[in-house]
Amino acid sequence: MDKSQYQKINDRNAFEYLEIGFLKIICDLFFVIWNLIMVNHRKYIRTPNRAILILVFGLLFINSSQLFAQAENIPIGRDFDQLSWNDFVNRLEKEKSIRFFFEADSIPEFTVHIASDSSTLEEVLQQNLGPLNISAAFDKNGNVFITINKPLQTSFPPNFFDAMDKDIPTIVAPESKADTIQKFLATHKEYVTRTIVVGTKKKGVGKKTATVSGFVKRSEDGLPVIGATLFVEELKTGTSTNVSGYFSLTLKKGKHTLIVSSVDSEEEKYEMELLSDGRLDVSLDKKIYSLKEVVITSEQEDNIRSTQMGYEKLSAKSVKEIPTVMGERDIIKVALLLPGVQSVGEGAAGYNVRGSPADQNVFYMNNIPVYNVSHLMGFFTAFTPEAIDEFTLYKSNIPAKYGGRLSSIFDIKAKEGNKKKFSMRGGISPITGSLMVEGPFAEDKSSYMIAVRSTYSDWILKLIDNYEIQNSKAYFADAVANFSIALNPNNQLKILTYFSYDDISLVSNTRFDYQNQGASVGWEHIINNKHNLDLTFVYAKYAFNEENEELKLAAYKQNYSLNHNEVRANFTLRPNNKHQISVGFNSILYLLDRGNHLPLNDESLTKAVYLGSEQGIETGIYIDEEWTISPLFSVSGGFRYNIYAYLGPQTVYEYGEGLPMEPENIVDTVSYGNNEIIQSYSGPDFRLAAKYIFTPNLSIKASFNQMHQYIFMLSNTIALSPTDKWKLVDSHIKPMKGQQYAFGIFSNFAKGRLEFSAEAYYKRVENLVEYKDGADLLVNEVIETDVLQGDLDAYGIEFMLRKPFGRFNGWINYTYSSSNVLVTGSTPSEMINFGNAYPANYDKPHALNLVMNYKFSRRLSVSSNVVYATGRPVTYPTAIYYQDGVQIIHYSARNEFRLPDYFRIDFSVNLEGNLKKKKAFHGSWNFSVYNLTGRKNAYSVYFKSENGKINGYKLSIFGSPIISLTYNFKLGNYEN
Amino acid sequence: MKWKPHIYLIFITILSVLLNSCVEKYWPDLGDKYDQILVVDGLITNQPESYMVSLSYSTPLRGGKKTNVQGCEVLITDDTENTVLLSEINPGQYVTTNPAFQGVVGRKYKLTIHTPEDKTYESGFQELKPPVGLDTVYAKLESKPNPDDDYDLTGYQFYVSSDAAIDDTNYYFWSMEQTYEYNSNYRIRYIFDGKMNPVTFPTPFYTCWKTSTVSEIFTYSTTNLTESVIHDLPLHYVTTETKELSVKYSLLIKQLSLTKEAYNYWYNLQKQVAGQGSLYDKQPYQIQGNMSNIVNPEETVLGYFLVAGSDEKRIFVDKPTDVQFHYSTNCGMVTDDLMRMLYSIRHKWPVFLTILFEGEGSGGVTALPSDPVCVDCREAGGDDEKPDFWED
Repeated sequence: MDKSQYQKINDRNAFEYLEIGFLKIICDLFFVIWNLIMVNHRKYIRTPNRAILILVFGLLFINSSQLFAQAENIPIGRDFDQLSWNDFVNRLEKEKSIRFFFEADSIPEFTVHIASDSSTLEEVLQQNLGPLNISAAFDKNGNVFITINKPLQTSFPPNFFDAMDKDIPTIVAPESKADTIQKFLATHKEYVTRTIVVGTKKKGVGKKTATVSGFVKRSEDGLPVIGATLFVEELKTGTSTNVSGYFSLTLKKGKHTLIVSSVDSEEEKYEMELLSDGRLDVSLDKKIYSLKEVVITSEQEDNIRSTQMGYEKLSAKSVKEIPTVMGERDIIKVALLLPGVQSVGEGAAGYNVRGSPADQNVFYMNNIPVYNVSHLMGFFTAFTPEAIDEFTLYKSNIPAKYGGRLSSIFDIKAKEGNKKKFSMRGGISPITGSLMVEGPFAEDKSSYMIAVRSTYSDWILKLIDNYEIQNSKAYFADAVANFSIALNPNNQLKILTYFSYDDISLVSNTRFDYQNQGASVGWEHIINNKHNLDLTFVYAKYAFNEENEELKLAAYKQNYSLNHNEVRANFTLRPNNKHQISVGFNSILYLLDRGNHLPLNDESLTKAVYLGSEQGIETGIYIDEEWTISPLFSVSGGFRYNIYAYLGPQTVYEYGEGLPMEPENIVDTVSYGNNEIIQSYSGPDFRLAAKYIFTPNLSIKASFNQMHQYIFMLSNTIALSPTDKWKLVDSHIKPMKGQQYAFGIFSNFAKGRLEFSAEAYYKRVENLVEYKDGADLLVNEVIETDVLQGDLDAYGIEFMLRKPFGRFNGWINYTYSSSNVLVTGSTPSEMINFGNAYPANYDKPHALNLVMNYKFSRRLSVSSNVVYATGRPVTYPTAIYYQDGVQIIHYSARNEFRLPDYFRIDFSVNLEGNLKKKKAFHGSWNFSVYNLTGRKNAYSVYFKSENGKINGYKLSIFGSPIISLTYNFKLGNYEN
Repeated sequence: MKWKPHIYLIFITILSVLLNSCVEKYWPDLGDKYDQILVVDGLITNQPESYMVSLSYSTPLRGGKKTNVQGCEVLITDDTENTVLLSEINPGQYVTTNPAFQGVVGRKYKLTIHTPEDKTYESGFQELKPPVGLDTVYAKLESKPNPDDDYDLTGYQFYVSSDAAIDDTNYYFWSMEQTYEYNSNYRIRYIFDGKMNPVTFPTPFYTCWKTSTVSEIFTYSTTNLTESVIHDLPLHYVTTETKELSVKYSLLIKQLSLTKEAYNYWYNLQKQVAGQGSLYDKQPYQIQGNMSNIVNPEETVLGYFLVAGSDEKRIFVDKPTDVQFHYSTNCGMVTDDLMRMLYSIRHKWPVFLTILFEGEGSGGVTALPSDPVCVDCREAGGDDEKPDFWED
């Protein structure tokens, strides 16, 4: 398009003299000015940057539509006099072909006065709304837009463009009606409706309803938008997209207004004429935030409207500025700043969710379970940061498609490759380097994403004041590759592979390495535009090797591996808009090689011990239904039936009737053949949840969950050790069963800028696996002789206040909780702590987390965390005594005391590279200080007898500020 | 507002990590919780000796004195109903006095205690396992990482190798007693008791021998070995950080063969002592011995009545050559105004004096050490009488 063309279309507008390309440059500059101008008007246009974008779109829009609207000229007779505003609107909408758009809440109740019979709609509205500071605007399609106090930008500052283009004469257009309308439309893109016809009349003959289905994708990279909502305004009904961005909606045939929105995209509104079943693919523009790059998700609406509770969602982007140890971006570690998530100590590997031990969580990388998520003894997590898109933590209300863990699901979603263009990003932190590349195979259809990370130094170990660790070596790496292939619009293939590796050598001549591998192939099929079928095959393997030369006489090597082979099928059925049903099953075949304990060399006298293998099949069939009884009240229910079989070949010991399971009580040995069922367990899982919305800003939710777990971790250390292994339940060790009741209040206030939630829970676990005092799990052929099963009782209340958006954003949460374990039996050897209840190792009654981000500008932001928690329970000495001249410490009852309280402040500064639009790559620096005050938080307190005296010591992991500088880069500019 | 690229690009090249020690001494508030519990410490072996059972109460962690339990009736019974009564030779120390009573391999023994409060405690019958001979005991000069300082530790690492055991699996426990010869930093040259009494060679209290129990627990079982034999198993490590290796050092190693239960007791104690302060500590717990109140089994009784087959060996090592010693030999010396000083400590007479800077053509300077340990080795806990077993 050339300049003259513009002039011809509209010679009154100065902007038309500008080339489109030029507009883009202005856009950036203008944004800065707009920031200043709009500071006072943010109430109406939530983000200045968005306003800019709309303006720019608006400019383009003006060029193409020069028709005058007609609605303003509609005559309004006296018969409309004295109607309430709502009646007035309803009647007009009914009688005339016009449609009003306004926020119901924003218009006060008033009565419409009509002065004379010859009034036009425009005059009437101006007379009635003007004094209320409400404006009206009209478009050519008969739409009327009502906004409160919305200052319409009728022109740019008169001399604004002079500086940029001296050649173009400045023409200041006089204020005109047409301009006002066009500008209004321009500045309110979300009100611009586009009519879309779905289906054909022919196909729809004789049917009352039709189904529209399709994908919602992001316009810039063609990736599916998960959880986008589609809302039919007239029917006040809607749906949301699934993990593939797919939706399906059955409606009455006819015209509907469809609003498509998602958290980080611009809202789109469509006038849809539904003639028959058909397809609608929606492309959403990314919402560009100027001041809210740090998006702390958990969709604003979800907080109130979804039935989901005990649910946390973090996007990788939202946590990128949160300070972490060594500047290593670690979204899973950020989970520790969420309510109800604890760890035993700083840098410890396990996560304790709502009072449960660490092995009651499962970590999924897409569909691949990761059995050991720790790198470097637990300081970091084994997920390539560049590959993670977001993660969701389910703490109480776990969807029925997930089974097998009592406490929580950490559902980590890998990034899907960009479907439009090649892109690359990476980072260099003090200990690792990482790189991620992505791009399309076939544009808009198939893409790849490959990310790798590896250490290049293990100097962090030198920082830890423990000579064993200082003199150790460590290496770790991880990689993720994600492929998304669209076979055709109804069939998608998703392939993910995952790998992580750790190699650690300790000064004490111990070397161990472990790795996770996994692959999943998923087929997503859309049936009939309405239903979905997902079929996934998953393979995961965790393997561990240890070489120990501490004692030459008994130098050994030991291995272990766990194979997880799974098939999952899930049907999502949408009989109508009030119901969404998921049915499916999954079946896991576990193959465990408990390993060989072998002499490491010829000198070693170690006896070769084969610890045996284990096989088990865990199958679950489930149905999950969400039923919207009314827009305010909805319930969701899930039922899952678990069947678990422990299979041969195996040698099983039988113990004397009524006797404790101890080696001396073995009365018989039974051998089972291959695939013979040794023991099977089955049990129902329930998932019930209900939500009631009191006001658009307040809802209450309640849920009940019952679950079973058939695999557990062999661990009797306080913190999870990297050498801990998994074990299947068998004929002696019973499956764990957990129940959780939760109740919550959810509220948004301060115009949705603040989100508040309070959730209380009570949890009970039966058959919790604990270990006898002094149990040795390394070379134990008969694990059941060291296992005791007891009960866990946990309860708590979590308060969370979040400010998800704005220059200043973040959250604060406080949790009060309790978690107690009781292991009792008929003989002293079957009890722990003499059969008395004791607090769990991770029981920290008071926990407070504060996360704050402040964005000074698009380039400079600061973040800080403040963490407080009660010290974990600990067993302290109460007396000393002597045996054979050696001083011995006598200890209190288990966990009778507490460590000193934990307190930490972190701080980070994030500095983005320049904001040039055209640049080859964009870099950013992150400077972070972990433990700013250098407080020596106790990891443990222990006692030693030295020269006849008992001395106490406090071990701190990071007893000083840990300062780090990380550089991240990517192709392209700041935005993409 | 102007945005100039690169203005905000601050290149921080210095990465400082300020590190302080992450392990520090710490004493938590333990309240005044203290459990007074009966502690039994007894051992009988197959060796022809007098066996001792010590009875005491557990003591508070700090500042508590060991309370002996006196006036008990202590009996050892074997599985053939023979009973021997032990007599209390020192408060809380009960010994067998009949030389005819000797532990026999394969026989079982039981300890019974009647307290003056009329409580009865019993151990149950404990089998005396056949002793396994100590084949060799040797020491090797080795360096080890130093948890407290920058330099490596140097010292002798003692190793044992045993004969093959009769049983398929043998459970070992090593009890060790160390004796070392050491010298005081300076020789006594005068004894002052109002007048200077010169001292002639050999100077008294210059060389002492100190004997103590090695307060470390060493156990091992051959459960996971192909043969019921051990070789080159490291036991005690003695460093050059103290005077222990400064002249000559001797270690008496008693190798005890235990029942599985007794082994588990000691093994758990060993693990509990060693397993604290790592990243992956286990829960400490109250390790139960084999004694219990026959009326009230719930009552906690600490300690073990150990019955074991025993073999012992003594080894001597000389001062290692070409190694650095790290113990301090500094002594404060008073030389100025010596007489006035000596008279001001009249209540301490007689005091020992030494001579500094002797030789090199001068008579030296008479000096009073500020701490008698500088000249009197007995002050460091040793005895100036050479033990009978000592080999020069």
